Amino acid sequence: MIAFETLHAAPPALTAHAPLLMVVAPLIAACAAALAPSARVSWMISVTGSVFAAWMALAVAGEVARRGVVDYVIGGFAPPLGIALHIDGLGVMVALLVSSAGVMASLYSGHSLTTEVGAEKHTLVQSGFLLCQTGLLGLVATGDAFNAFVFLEVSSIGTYALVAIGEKRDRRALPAAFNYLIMGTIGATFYVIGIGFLYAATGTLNMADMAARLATLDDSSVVQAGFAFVVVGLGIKAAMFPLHGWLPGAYSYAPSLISIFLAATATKTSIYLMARFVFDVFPYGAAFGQAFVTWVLAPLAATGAIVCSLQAVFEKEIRRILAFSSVAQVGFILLGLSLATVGGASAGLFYLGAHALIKITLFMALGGVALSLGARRLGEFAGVAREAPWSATAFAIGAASLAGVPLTLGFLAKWRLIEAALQAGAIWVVVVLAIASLLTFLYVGRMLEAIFFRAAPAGAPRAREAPVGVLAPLWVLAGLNIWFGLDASLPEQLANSAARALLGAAP
Amino acid sequence: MSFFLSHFNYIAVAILMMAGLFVLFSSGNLIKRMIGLAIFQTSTGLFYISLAKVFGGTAAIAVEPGSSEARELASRLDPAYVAQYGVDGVVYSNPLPHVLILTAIVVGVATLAVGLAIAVRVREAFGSVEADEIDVLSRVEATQPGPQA
Amino acid sequence: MNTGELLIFLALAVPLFAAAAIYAVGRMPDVRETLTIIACIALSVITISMFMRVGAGDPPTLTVARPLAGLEIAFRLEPLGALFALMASLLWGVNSLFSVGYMRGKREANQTRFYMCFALAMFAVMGIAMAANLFTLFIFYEVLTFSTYPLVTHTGDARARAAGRVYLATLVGASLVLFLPGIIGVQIVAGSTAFTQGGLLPGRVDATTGDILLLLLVFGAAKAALMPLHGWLPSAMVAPAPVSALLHAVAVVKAGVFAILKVSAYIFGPDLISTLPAATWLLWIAAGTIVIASVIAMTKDDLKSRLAWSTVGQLAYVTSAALLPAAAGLVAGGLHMLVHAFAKITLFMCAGAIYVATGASKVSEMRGLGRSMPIVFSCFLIGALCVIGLPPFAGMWSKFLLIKAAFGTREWFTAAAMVISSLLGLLYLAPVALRACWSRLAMDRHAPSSVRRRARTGCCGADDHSCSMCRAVPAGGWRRQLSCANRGEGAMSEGTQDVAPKEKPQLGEPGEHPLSVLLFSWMRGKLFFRLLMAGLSALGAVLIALEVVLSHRPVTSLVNMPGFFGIFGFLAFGIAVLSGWPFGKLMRRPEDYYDTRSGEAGRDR
Repeated sequence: MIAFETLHAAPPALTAHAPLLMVVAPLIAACAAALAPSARVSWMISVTGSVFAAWMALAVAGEVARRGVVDYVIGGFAPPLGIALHIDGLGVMVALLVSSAGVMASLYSGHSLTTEVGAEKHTLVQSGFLLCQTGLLGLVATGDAFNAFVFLEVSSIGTYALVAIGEKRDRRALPAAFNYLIMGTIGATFYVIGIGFLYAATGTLNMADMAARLATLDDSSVVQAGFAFVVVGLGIKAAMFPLHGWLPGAYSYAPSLISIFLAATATKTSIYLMARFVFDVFPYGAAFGQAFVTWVLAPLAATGAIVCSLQAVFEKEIRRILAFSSVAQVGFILLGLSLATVGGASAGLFYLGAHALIKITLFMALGGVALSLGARRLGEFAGVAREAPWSATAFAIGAASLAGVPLTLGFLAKWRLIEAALQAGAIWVVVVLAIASLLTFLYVGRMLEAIFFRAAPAGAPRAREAPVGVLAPLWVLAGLNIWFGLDASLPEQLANSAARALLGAAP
Repeated sequence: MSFFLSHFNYIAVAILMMAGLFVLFSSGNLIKRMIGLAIFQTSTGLFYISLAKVFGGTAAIAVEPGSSEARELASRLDPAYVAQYGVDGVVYSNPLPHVLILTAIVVGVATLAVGLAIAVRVREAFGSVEADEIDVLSRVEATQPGPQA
Repeated sequence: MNTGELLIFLALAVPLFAAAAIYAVGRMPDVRETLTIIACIALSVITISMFMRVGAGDPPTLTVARPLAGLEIAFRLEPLGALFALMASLLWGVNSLFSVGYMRGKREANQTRFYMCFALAMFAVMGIAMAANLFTLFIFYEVLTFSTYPLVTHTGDARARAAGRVYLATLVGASLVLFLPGIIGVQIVAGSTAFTQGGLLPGRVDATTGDILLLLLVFGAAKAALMPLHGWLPSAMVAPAPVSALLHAVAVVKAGVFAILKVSAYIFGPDLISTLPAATWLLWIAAGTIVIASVIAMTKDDLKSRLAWSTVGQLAYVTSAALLPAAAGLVAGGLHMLVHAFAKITLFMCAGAIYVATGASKVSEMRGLGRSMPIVFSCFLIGALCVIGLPPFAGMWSKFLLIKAAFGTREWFTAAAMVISSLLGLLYLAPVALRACWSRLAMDRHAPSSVRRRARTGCCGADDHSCSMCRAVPAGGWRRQLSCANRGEGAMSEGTQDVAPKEKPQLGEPGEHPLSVLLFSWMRGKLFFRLLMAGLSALGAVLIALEVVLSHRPVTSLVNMPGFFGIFGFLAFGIAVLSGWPFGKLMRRPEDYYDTRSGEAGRDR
């Protein structure tokens, strides 16, 4: 256990403004990075900004542990009229996740960009990456429903452009980015329309205030329509089955820096916002919220978990396998949340964190190898284990964790999910989880077989081991997979307090 | 019928929205898709403005109570409206949705710009802006080995 | 850390360290194999001293990690585990000596991986043997599965990979779908998974929950090969003989029955077991497994396959023993596990020795070989008689205790199955050795002298390629191999290896997996879109028509369902977004505004 209560990560003067600084730091860094004279300088700015944001997130975590919730009033205008940042246990968990993923990705970016992106674009890519980080952190921090839309779009617009940058290695990045843009914009616009309905019904945009007023309004058809729009909009952004069409392309063809960061954070923050709306803003006790969770969210999550795992089994390109796997894992997370118990929410959020760590490890290992080997399909990865043993081993650790092999974080995540499902008496969820896990084993097995047990055909291009600058963050992540597999008290603590914040009860 | 008349602005929103989505989905041309997307986004603008509008309301610029301007504005109000809500003096439209939609428009413009930029790059890379042809070329790409760094 | 804890630590550390060391010195075979032997000896010393300490004072306990609240990775030394650890470490030593000879004799590839995985498997076995709770046992059980997978697929050819897939799919599948939910169920019911003297669950479960948990846990331990989860064991026969010995005697299947024994003794306890109906059902299944496996074993000509089926049957003895509602059953089960391990490893080493020396893998080819290999076949006979349970061999005692326990608890089915299977064993194991000694040489009739000579001198040692040919010949024996050899190499490979899959006209994307085509390609067909469009149009028309006819009063009770309109709206939007793309293709009109001069697709559809 880490005693967050006694964690004073930053001096009081900074801590007082930490919620805002956490969001603004990457924004300022983004401007600076765009103006930076050279790639190296922009990289250093990027690392500094990300590290600073993570530091502030830690400071916020300490405050939240002490006070339960941190409200930061921007410009001294008190909510509900003024705009406020509002961070509770759930927000802290996702903020820590996003900011630490940002640190890892920015460390990694120093080497990956040189091969993947033209030299003249480095500074702009770093700037876009930081903007994306700003958007995601702002989304987590804000207590205002409309601000959430703005932050969502800030991060998304950055992401569209960055995905398109991947064209240098694979021109399919362009149509993928275009599709992502269209789907993402439809999702965001749905969300705005939904917020409009809710504003019409409640007259406020502050989420806490809205929740209080909605509690008396749960029969209103305006509210229900708003709910539907918000959930569909966020469902697209979170790649909830069957609204996930944009994800495989966007993850597969983007530069590896972006894949890494997106895989760990993008869908996670949207799930965060969706959970916030479904369980927190809307009165969950209301019949329509429960009916939605039981009859729509849970079945879709289950179908997504199985169908997308199956599609991953049949995919041939390794990054597309991982992308489909991501959609399936979103299903796992939503299944946990849809149990609508504190245990289930805690397990789902635990899974959310675990999956972020797993996918960032896998995409980083893959990116490290792909720096020297332009391989896409499974067959082309034959024999990589011999030429790049460190990257391959880290990949194997991540893959084992994804499959849920004991002694890794992924195993504990599955354990908690099954435990929560059994406790909630949802046997069918256990069955779905077991089937999807088996399919996960299948595609993980295919990847590992290609990398470890197949010899490279003669004359095939050889991979080189990734540079130390990539291996260092990669092995930190792989090590965390194992470490948390042996002692998961930190993620468990975060997930539990997040679930308590979400459903408001003692575990 | 009166329902339709009194809600004609919302009906316009719905029609615009559906028209935008229709163009978006029915067209294979990337530029036309962007046009559809723009129409779709614009419909939200109308929606928000409709929300904010108060009959007889004026722009949210403070007017000195009791001034001639205030009296003139108040006189324009529908007596039935005044009777129903018991308003006194100037009625302002809600400024907040205007502000919101201003932000949304900025976001929309940015999205549009990025989307069109990508469309240009697609044309350069694939020689076409037709989704079908790009699909075919992408599938061919999927069978090729990756580039060497 | 007192001596007991130190021993536990060393028992885990020695094989793990050995695995790392073997990897490090992989380029030097002599050093590598010396290391293996040293590790075997060290581990044996450790387990012997552990075995001596059992029963004296408090059992030593070592807690390594606590991943989640209420879950511990912890070890404790208790008699059954000490017995298992001792057995495994001793047999590892014996088996390693044998492996050195076998692997060198056959010049196998990837030997470093082989020895390393072997050491890792021993690490897992030590973890299983000393696990203090089900959670720890499960973890090491899985480590054992994954560390033995490269061993099963050691040869790397198509058959080995297929067997490996079956192996992984069955074991991992059963443990994920059955074992893990069972363990989590225990955790929820009892708040812990610790192995407790007299049982963890008594007083905490009703009969139904107990039944479900027992079924999940017993079938989940698929390494015990209880029917119908036994298929992986015979198919894993493609592995080299030392691996078979590992699977059948040292580690894998023993880990399965050991897990069942532990679950029976320390999770349920004999008292609870005796009240559960599921235990009776499982006893019947085990009795069926015993008899059916023995019958199938009689029909097998391949010696290793025959031994594998015999193992399936013998394991069911131990499973039965664990489920007998009496503590006596547990003692008999533990003893049988031990005895069978020693007997089976003897048999497999004999089979391996015969194969290395003569290339013969079928019982029918072994007639008369006993005259040139008297020692090997004598050992085989001893092992066979031990498995069958004839005096004066050890198998007699365990079978005696087993059948006595079965009679004592009035489980007539089980007792009868054991007796019948012993008689069948007499029919399918003993004759292998007896015929080898007393028949004429089998090949006199079938093979010309050149093949015979090669068989005697050891074709495998001399000629790697011919050896792999021997293995590749699925059936048909010498005659077929001879004819293949006459036709030359090309014909040989064509006849026995996988034919490369031909290019077929495909619906899906180029090179797409056929099952994927089957599952998803129908969505890409033209007809599908037309039907979809027509169906949706008709639906829309009907809905519009209904709109005129129907009143807007709530016509069905569905409307009164809470949140109906919310859900309806959600689904409608979901469908609208989803169907957008395919619809786009349908609704598109021909367009002719392209600049055709630049050679682009001027389209006129």
